[in-house]
Amino acid sequence: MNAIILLAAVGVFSMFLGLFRLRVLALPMIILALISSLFIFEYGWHGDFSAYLNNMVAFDHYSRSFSLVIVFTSIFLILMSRHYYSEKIEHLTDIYALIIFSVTGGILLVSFQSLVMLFLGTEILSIPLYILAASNRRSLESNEAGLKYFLTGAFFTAVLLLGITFIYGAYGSFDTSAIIQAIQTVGPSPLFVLGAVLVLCAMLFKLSAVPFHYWAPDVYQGAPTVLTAYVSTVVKIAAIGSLLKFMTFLGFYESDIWINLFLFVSILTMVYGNIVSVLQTNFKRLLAYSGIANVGFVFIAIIIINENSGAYILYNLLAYSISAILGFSIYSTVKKQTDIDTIDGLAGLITNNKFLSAGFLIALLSFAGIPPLSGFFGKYFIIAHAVFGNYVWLAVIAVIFSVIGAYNYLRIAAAIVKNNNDIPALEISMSYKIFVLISMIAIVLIGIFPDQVIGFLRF
Amino acid sequence: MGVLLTILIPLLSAILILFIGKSNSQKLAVISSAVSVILAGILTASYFANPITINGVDWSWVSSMGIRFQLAADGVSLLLLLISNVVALISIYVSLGDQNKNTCQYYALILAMQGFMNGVFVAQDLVLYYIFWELVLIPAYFLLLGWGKHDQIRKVTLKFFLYTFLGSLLMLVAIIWLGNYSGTPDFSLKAVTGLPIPGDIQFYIFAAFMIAYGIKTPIFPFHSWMADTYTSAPAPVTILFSGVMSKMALYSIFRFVLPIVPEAVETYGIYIMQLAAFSVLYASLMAMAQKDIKRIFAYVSMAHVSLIVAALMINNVEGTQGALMFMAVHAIVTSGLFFTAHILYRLKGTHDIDSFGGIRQQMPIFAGLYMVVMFASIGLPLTNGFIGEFMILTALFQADVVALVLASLSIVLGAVYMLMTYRKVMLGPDNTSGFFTDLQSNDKFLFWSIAFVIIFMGIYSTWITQLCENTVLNIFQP
Repeated sequence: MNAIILLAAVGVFSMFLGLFRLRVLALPMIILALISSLFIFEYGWHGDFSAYLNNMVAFDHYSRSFSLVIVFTSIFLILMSRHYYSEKIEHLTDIYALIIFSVTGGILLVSFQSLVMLFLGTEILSIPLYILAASNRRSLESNEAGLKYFLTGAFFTAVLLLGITFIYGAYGSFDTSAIIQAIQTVGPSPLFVLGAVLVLCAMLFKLSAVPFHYWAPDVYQGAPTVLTAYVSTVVKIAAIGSLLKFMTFLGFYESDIWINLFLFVSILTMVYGNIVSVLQTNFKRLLAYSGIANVGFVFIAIIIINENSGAYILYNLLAYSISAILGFSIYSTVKKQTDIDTIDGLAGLITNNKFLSAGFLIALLSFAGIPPLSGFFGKYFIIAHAVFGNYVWLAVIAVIFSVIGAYNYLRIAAAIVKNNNDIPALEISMSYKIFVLISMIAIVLIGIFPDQVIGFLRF
Repeated sequence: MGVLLTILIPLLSAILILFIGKSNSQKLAVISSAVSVILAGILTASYFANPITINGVDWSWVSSMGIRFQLAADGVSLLLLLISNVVALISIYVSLGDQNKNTCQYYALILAMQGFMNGVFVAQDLVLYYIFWELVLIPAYFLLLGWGKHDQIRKVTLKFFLYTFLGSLLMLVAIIWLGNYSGTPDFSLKAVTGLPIPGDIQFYIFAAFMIAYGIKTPIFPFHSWMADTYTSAPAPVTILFSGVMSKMALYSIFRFVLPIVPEAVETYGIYIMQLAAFSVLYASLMAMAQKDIKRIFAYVSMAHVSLIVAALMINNVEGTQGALMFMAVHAIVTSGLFFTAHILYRLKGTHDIDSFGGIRQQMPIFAGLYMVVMFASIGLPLTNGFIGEFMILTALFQADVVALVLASLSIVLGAVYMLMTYRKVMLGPDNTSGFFTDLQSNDKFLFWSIAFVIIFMGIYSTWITQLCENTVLNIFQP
């Protein structure tokens, strides 16, 4: 709980710093707060708040692993937004605050113990995002993205709430342990099943899994790139954290129907995401579809559930997130100075921008799953998980669609190393160089020491 | 440690080369690859003195998945290391004559590719092996993309990448399945060799491996990436591709397919053998129909590597020894052929066979050396090509008549199209309407060396058989 209090307080404080024109302090303070909350989660300094919380959240090993990844990814995201908004400095502190609030929501979401907290976490996670999506006030696309995201998001919030109400109606409690007990004594009632399906739909929406994916490409393309990066990384980690918890807590694995449902969603998402991404020419749309495909891939670890699933999912998402933030960030730097947003427009980036291209290529190759970058073991663990769990055919499907995914990333890589001179040398600040360098090192190190990372993430 | 150095020397040089100037980069590349050749030579000599497997390093890496960083070199690995480093040296030496753009990156990528290929030949853990295998693809991809000459080089490159990537990912699934056979993951070569795998599953693993290797080699139905890739890559890179990268697949068939799924090889190997023999014929016929000299040599190379696949599928000591011998032969001969194509390209800026003719009158030394390489390619006695083909055909004779007939037929065809190419390029009336000086010192030195190795191996080749003997016997009589 200390971490949540700390982050929320720092978020509020950051807004005041903006008022008092002390903006320089905001970034170090927020980074410091995020790093301290990493320590809080690692060493379990959560304080004794059980009297106030009524057992609605639990900071257990599960919540620790997911929160660590969420907070770690957010650090990269904050650093990215520092450079993204470097021209609109007046709102920077507010934007930090919104991101931090949303991170707090993500932490609550993966720590929920009561369905009320599940709902609150989802809302705290989402509402700042609606604002961020529309934060580019002068851009029509950004406004459209904000509105679209808000309307669809609000609709699925209602669906989530309806689902929670049904579950409450079935057993008369929001508390997950009470619900589990009731299921075991009374058996799953139809009302409960209906409620659970609705809750799962809302979660699949947040993950942009097919068939609830349709909002993602438009929002990704229109929204400011920081939000795109946030939605495709932290939000997905938090959503899959709550999904996995919901699935395991409520004992869904006792019935094959749920496994088959996820099998269906997983394959559909992989197939759809990868195939449609081949047709894309806009960089952000392409990453939207390949992000959808990655969710389908990650679902494999949910289908074959055992004590390793969580760690493998987290490793995959961590690897994906760092690469995605680096990729989006470099893309936005290019876009800001040259107004390029297509893949062909990136042609010849390497000629005058060797450093940025190196970063971009590392991110793309990591996405494609090339060893020893982190993306390789991200894919390897999940394929191995499927093979170990006797789902060889699923592994083969995943592998075949991975090749299509790799095709997309290499399409971009091929454009970047093309031999022409269209893109001038871009201005990049020293601090931005350091950010790119740190991200590149992180991608390589996570890939070279997968065992240590997995050991750290296991719960 | 020596084994680890074969990987580290090229890789560290590759990194270093990015930060030094253009003229230094050429020197460093030559020195580094020469040192690699010497190192491989020393390792081989020490193996002859004391023929036991040279252990490299054995570090635990991803222990939760049973993946170890484990390197070792036995006789066959050493043969392939020699091939890989010698061909890399040739490739770098050929590049020296060209005025390349982005010289530093070019040599860095070549050296990186060399380092990763050496890694493939010494890795003792299947996942580590897979990682090296995949890593080879990255420098290859960028070399082709950045320096290839083709109107649609991006398309060619993507085709090459996707083909090989699909094959290798299917192989990865098979590798993971094998590693987990006993329940606790262990991917070391020792652990996965001789597992009692049921016959029908052996078939799937055999298929997954053979698709990956069939694509990389390439043999008949999987070859469609090959001609464009070999033709549009710059000559030094083509030398690396056909000289070493195709050997990676052949080596892997020997190293993994034969010992891990012996029953499947016994049952289905005959079909692959016939397919490969057909592939020899197909490639020979395709070679006859080409007008582009580099394309002709690409199909010549394909015919030869297909013959090696057929020999490996015989699944006995003689066939395997023949295959290994022919791998060494092919590496040298194919380097010589593509080098010839490259010199011709430098003369006229084209690979079109009709625009040459009568070059022998102006360049007698070149003509003579090209003739040696051509005879080796045809398999004339006294050249190394003869030894390799003879060993393989003898083994095929005992194994399968269909394959033998197909393969022999294509050797006759080989003589036809190689001689035809030679006649069109070198003999006849001089229609070049230009004045060429004969080979310059660098090229002359390299070409003489290649011709010398061809003749030397043709006269004295038993050392290769001796080098591989223990390893081969180990596989067939465990």
